[in-house]
Amino acid sequence: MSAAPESARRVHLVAHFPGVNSTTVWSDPASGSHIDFESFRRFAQTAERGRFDYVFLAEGLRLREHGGRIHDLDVAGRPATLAILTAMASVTRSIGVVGTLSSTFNEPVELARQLATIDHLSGGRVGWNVVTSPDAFHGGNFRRGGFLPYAERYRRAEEFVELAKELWDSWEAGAILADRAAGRFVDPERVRRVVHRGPQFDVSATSTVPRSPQGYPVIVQAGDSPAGRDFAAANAEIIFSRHTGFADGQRFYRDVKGRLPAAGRTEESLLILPGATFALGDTDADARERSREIALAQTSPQTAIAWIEAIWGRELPGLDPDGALPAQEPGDGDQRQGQVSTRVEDRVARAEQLRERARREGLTLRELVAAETAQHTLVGSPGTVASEIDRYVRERASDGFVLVPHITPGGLDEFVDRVVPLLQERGVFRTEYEADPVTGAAPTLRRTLGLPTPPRPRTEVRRVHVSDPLAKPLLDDLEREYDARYGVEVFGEPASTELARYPAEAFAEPHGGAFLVLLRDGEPISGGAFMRHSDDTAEFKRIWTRPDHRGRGVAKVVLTELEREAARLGYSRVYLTTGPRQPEAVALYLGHGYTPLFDPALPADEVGVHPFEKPLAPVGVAGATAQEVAA
Amino acid sequence: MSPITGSKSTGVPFTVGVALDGAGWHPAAWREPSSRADALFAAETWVELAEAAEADGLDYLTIADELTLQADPADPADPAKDGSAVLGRLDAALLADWIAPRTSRIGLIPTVTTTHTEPFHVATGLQTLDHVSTGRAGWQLRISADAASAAAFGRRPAPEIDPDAVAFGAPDAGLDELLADAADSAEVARRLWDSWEDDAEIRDAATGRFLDRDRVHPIDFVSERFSIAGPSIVPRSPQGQLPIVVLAHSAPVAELAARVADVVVVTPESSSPRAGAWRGRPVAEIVAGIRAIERDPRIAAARAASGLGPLRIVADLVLALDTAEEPAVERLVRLDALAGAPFAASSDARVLAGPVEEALELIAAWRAAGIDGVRLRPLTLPADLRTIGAELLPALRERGIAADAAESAVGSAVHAEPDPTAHHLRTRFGLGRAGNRYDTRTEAAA
Repeated sequence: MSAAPESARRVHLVAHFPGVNSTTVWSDPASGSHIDFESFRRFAQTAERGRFDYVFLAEGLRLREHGGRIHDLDVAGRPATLAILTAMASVTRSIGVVGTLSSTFNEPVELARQLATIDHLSGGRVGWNVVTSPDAFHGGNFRRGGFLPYAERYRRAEEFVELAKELWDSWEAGAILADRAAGRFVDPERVRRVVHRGPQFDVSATSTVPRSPQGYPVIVQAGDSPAGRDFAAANAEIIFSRHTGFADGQRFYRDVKGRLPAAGRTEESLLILPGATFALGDTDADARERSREIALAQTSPQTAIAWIEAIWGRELPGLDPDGALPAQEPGDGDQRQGQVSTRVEDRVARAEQLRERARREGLTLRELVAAETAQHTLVGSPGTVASEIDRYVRERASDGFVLVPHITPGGLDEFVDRVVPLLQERGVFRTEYEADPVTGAAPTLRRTLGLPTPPRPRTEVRRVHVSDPLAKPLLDDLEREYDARYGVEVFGEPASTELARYPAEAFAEPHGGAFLVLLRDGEPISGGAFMRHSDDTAEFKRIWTRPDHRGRGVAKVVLTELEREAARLGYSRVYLTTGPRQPEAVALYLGHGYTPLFDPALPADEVGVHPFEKPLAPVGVAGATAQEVAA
Repeated sequence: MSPITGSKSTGVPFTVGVALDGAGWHPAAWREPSSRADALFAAETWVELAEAAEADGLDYLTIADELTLQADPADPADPAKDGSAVLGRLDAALLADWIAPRTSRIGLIPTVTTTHTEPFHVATGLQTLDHVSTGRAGWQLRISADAASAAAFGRRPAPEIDPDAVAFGAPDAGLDELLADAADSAEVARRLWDSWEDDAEIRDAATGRFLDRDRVHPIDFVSERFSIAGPSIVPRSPQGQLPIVVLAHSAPVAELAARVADVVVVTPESSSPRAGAWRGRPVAEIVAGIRAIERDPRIAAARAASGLGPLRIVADLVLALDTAEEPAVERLVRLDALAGAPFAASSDARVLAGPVEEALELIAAWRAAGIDGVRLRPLTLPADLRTIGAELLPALRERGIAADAAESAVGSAVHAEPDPTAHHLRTRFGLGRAGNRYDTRTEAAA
C-alpha cells in the first residue's frame, strides 16, 4: 500500500449481494440469474479482485407478500445463507463471507457449529450478522412457530450470542493432539461441556467442532433501536448501519462509538459501515443521468403503485402511476408482509407528508416513489465517488461502506474497475490482502478488518492466604451453603465451627498446605485448599465453586490444580471427605479418579461423611493446568 | 394433490458409493501413518478425498454427522473419554457445500438430522446444495434419538426409547414418534422442493412481474407435531427432488425409508449388536423383508403419491483391501490391537479385510441377492479409498457390475451438447426426472 497522508483513515468496503427488493433491477438485459451458483461465484470473485473486506448476504425466511399474495414485482427467491456462504468461501481465498442469520428461528448449538464449520473450512473468514426476526408471519415457516415480543427478541439475541461464545470457547486451542504414538487424539481435559441455564435457553452441550481459526465469527449487527445500539456496543464488531447521510452518519458514529467505553471497549474494536447504493458516470453529470435511469428502472409503474398501497394500507385499484397521489384516506390493512421497511406507524400523517412533497416538487406518483425509495448514496465520476468515500471515513461519518449494486451479478464490476484503483492511489484502501505474518496463510476476516482479537475470559489460579480478601467470598458462600444444606442437625455444629477449626497456617506452604482461588477476569469463581493429613497424604478441603459457574468443569480445574500443587509439595496421596447432602461433589470426585472409602451402594445419609482417596502422579504428568486452559 | 407424473424409472444401475467419516471407520484409523489425523478439520483434506473419489468414478460420497460428539469427554461414565479416538465433526451439509464447487460429477450426500432441527432450514439448505452442485445433492436423513442431542438443543425433552427393545426389533412408541416426526420433515422437504415450479420466474417487463405467483405454492403442511406454511425461499433446484437416503437396521426404520426415501442402506452379515434387529441376517432375507414392506398397500400408496419409484437397496460394507506393502488383515489386526478391541464386534456394517477378489465376489453375491448398490466405508482414509478407486472399482467394471468408466464419466464434455441431467444424482440411481406435485400443467411434466 502506498504511503497514506497523515490524516488518512483506512476505508473498508463490503460487497452486498443484490437483495430481493426493488433496489435490484431484473429487467435490465445485463441482469443474470439470482439463484445459479455461477452468479455467486462471479460476484464473490469480483469482490475479491477488488480487495473488498467481505461479501455480504441477507437471509430469507419467507417470501414477501402483498395484498395477501406472494409479492411478484421484485426479484424473489434466494439460497439458504449458510450454504451459499460456504460455497462462496470455497471459490475464493482471502475475502470474508458474512451472512444474516436469525437468532429467533435458529438454535445456538446448531448455529454455533455451523458457523464454526465455515470458519474452519475458510481458514477464519466468516462473520455473522445477528438479527432478530419480527413476526408470526416468519414464524409460519418454523416448527418453533410464533414470534417473540420486541424486548424478548433482544434478550434472546443477547443470550444466544453469549451461549454461542461459550460453545466456541469450549474447546481450547491445542485440544487436538493427534499424537499417534501416545494414542491420544484429543486431550479431554481441554474440551469442556457447556451447561447454560438461562431464561431463554436451557442447554447442556459439548461442542462437536474444535476451536476454529478465528475462535468465533466476526459479529455484525444491523438493528438501530436503542436496544439494538446497546446490543451492538456490547457485542458487535461491525454495525451495518442505515445512516448513509453525511451529517446523520457523523451523529450515529459519535453516538455508538460513545457507548463503547462504558462497555470496556476501544473505538477501533467496532466498525460502522452504512449501506450505500451507487451510480457512476464518466462525469458527474453523466452519473446523475445514470442515477435517474436506474431509479426509474427500480420504480416500475407497478412497483410504484404497490409501494403506495403498502403505505396506504389498502388496495388502490385504478391508480395512475403517472398521475397524482391517491385522494383516498389510508386504511389500516397491512398490505405488505415480510418487509419491515414499509411498516408505518401513522398512515394518515405519512400519506399527507407524501402528498405535500409531491405538490411541492411537482412529482407524479411514480416520480415521488423513485425520489423516496431509489435515491442513490454515491453518485458521480469515479474520482468524485472515491473522494466522497474517503471524506466519510476521514471525517468519521463511517468506516467505509456496504455497497449494494443494482445488477446481479455484474453490478460490482464497474466499481471495482474504476473506483477501487483511485482509493488505492489515495493510499486509503488495500492493494493486497495482508497475509498472516507467521504462517503466510490468507488472512482471517478479523485481520482484514483490522479488528482486535476479542478478549476471552482470562482464567488464572492464585495461591492466597486464608485471610486474603480474594478468599473471603468463597468462604462466606461455603458457610452459607453448608448451613443451608446441613443446618446443625447433621454434624451437630454450624458450618462456622468447622470453618474455624484449623488455623490459617495449616493452609500455608510452610505447614504443608495451600489455598488456591481460581480467578476469571480477576474475580474469584472457585477455589480449594489442602492441609497435611500425614507425611505422604494431603487432605483437600474447602473445594467450592460460585453457584453461577457450576456445571462447567470449573471445579475440575481447581481439583487438578490442587493435585499438582500437592504433588509439587511432595505428597503422593490425597484424602478428602464430603457430606451426605453433596451428591454433585461425590460425582465430581468419582469422575476424577477418586476411590470411595465407603460402600457407594448404601444410602448417602447412612454413609454420613463420605471419605475418598487418590494416589498422586509425580509432578509433570497431571492434566490441564489453569494456564493451559486460559491459553 | 394432483397425481405425479414423469417420474419414470429407467432401469436400475448398480451404484458404488463411499461413506466418509473422520479418518476412516476404524476407531484407530487416525493412528495410521498415512492418515491426515492432524488435518481432519481442514478443507483441503476433504476436497482431496472428494477429488480422488470423483476421479476414480465413484457415484457418490456420503458424509456422516450427528449433533453430538462421538464420545463425551465431560462424562465420567463414557469409555471413550480418554481421547483415544477421533472426536469432533464438521457440519456435513456445509462440508458438502464446500466440496460442491470443487467437483463436477460426484454425488454429494450429507447426513442431516431431523428431530431437533427446523425442517425449513434443512430443506432449503439441501436445496441450495443442489443449486451449488448443479444437481448432485442427496440427503441422508437421520433421527436424533439420544438424550445428549436433546440436552444440547434444550428445546424438547429426550424421547423415551428403550434401546434394548429397539435392538431386538420390538415395537417402541418413542421410536415410532421420532420416525413419524422424521416422516413429517421429509414430507415438508418434498413439498418445499416442489413449491416453485421450474418456470415460475418469468421476468415479464410488460406487466412488471418477475414471478408468476400462480406457479409458486404454499405447502400448508399441518401435522400433530408442527405446521409449515411455505413456499420455499429457494427456487426449484436442478434435480427438483433430491434423493433421500435412510440407513436402516430394523423394520420400523425401513418402513420410514419405504414411506419417504429413494434409497435405503442396510448392513447385512454383521453380527455385531450395533447391526440392530437385522444383525447377522443374510442379504436375501433383508431384501425380501424390505420388498415386503414396500408392497404393503398403504406404503405403496404413499410412495406413489410422492412420486417415488421402487426403493434402491444399498448395502454397507467396511472395506480394507490388500496393498503391496501389507495384507489388509494385518492392518485390521494391527488397528484392533491399538484400539484394544476388535472393530468387527462393534461395527454395524460387515467388515471385510482381504484381497480385491474377495470383495469382488462378495459384492457380486450381494448383487445376485437383490442389492442395487454398495456403499463402501473405507477402514482408513485416505489409504483404503485409494485402493477402492484404483483396484476394486475397475474390477467391478470388468465384471460388468459397475458401469464402465466412460459411461460413469457422465457430464464430461465429450458430446457437443451434454445432457445437463447426466451427472445428476437422480440419474446415477436411475431415478429419472422428478415430477412436480404442484405442476398445474401435467402434460409439461410428462
